[in-house]
Amino acid sequence: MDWSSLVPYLPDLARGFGVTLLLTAGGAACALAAAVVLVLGSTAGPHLLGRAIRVYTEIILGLPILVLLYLIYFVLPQAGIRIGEVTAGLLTLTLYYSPYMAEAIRGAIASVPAGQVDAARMIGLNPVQVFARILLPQTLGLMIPPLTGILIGLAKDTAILSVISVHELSYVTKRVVSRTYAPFEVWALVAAIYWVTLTALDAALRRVEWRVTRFRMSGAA
Amino acid sequence: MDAATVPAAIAGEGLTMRYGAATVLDGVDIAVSRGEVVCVLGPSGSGKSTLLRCLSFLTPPTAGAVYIGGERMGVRSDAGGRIATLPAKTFRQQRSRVGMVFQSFNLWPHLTALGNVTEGLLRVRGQTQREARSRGMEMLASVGLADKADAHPARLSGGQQQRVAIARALAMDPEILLFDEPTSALDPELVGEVLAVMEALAARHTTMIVVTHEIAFAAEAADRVVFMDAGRIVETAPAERFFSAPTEERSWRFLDQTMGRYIGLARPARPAPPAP
Repeated sequence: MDWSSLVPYLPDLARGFGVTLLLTAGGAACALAAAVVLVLGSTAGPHLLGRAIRVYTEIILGLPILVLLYLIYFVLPQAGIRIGEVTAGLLTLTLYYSPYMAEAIRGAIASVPAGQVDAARMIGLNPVQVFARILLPQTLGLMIPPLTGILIGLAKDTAILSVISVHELSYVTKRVVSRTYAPFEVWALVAAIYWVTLTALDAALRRVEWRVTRFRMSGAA
Repeated sequence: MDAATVPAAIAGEGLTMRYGAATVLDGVDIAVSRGEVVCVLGPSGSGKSTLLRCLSFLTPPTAGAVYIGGERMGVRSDAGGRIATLPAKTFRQQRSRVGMVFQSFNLWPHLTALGNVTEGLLRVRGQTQREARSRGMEMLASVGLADKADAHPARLSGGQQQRVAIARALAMDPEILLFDEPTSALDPELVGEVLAVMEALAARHTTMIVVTHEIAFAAEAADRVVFMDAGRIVETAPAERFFSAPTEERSWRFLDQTMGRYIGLARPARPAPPAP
């Protein structure tokens, strides 16, 4: 084993890692925002919109993310929509993960008695206010554990974007391997980087959950 | 304006609610004048709560129309007379003219009593913290709970929670207050404090529709009684006459079963059978 041959490539790997982090953060933010839109649309929107969201959810739940990625990256341009690989990657993460996140959010807010929403509507709160002021504060602690799992899935799936040449950590790693001919050392190092990062993310979100539920327990009891 | 041209504070016309094959509300007409207190009585499942949900548009009726101060709810007619759905924001403003108090209080548990009362003032009326706080405290004082302003609902008794819910509805200064069995979820000894608040409102001629099983309250506070059964209005009459001499056999049977026995009101006269 020759670890020293890796040293010249560490800056490349660090850049790839940076891209992975940005994709994770960007993908998570977009997917979460889209999930909130899906939840609002299916709970407070017109009937037809709710139906369309259900159909969309069914389609996504039945597709591998790789297939969705190819559809977006290779098929959209044929329809005249030109799209860069990073945009295609973020779009894929958003489209693929938002229905899962929406399910997690919907599951949590379903625990709030419907009467509280009736009361909020009678007072005149709009759907966004009902979500942000009434539902979210009561259920944040409930939705963080499932969202954590989904978020970590999203972070891992950024590696799939390497197939369309997004220069994230896995893509860079493959190139480094082809230069160094040291697949074991390079992939072992990269595996360690992924593991440490994802474990840290998991721990951080657990901490957030703890803070949120601690507040809830002392606030309501 | 003479009485005939003043529109009802709230009116329902041909209100019908169907769930699949079941008709829960069957063409109900109701009109409540400004300052009038109407109690809706009737057996469970007669459509009383559904009537309130239709009037408040929490569940818009399958058929029929609701008017608030003469203005049709949820729709508007344009210049050509075509009827169009109201924009959501306009609709919310329109509905905020109706206040509602629920059987299960429906307070928001993460907010304090004052927070519950001021939420609409801050987010819907756009008041400043100071304005909302002052109005909120005034409302809490009016239901006798100024000292509980900072308590979360879980720390309040059922009766106190329902009084906060009444203060929350009142804070928005509604033209009509709807009460959906406001004391049915309460311990018997907590019923009185809620009814006292409602009686005070009635004495101030707040326009109210009260769905209730509290016959004594209806007899005491109502101007008019609406008696429902099987999704229809069976009888509507001034309270005094309804309780002493109902005109419908079905109302009489209901009263005979519920009132005299518990509250010592005189037994109502049985209506004469219809002429053959």
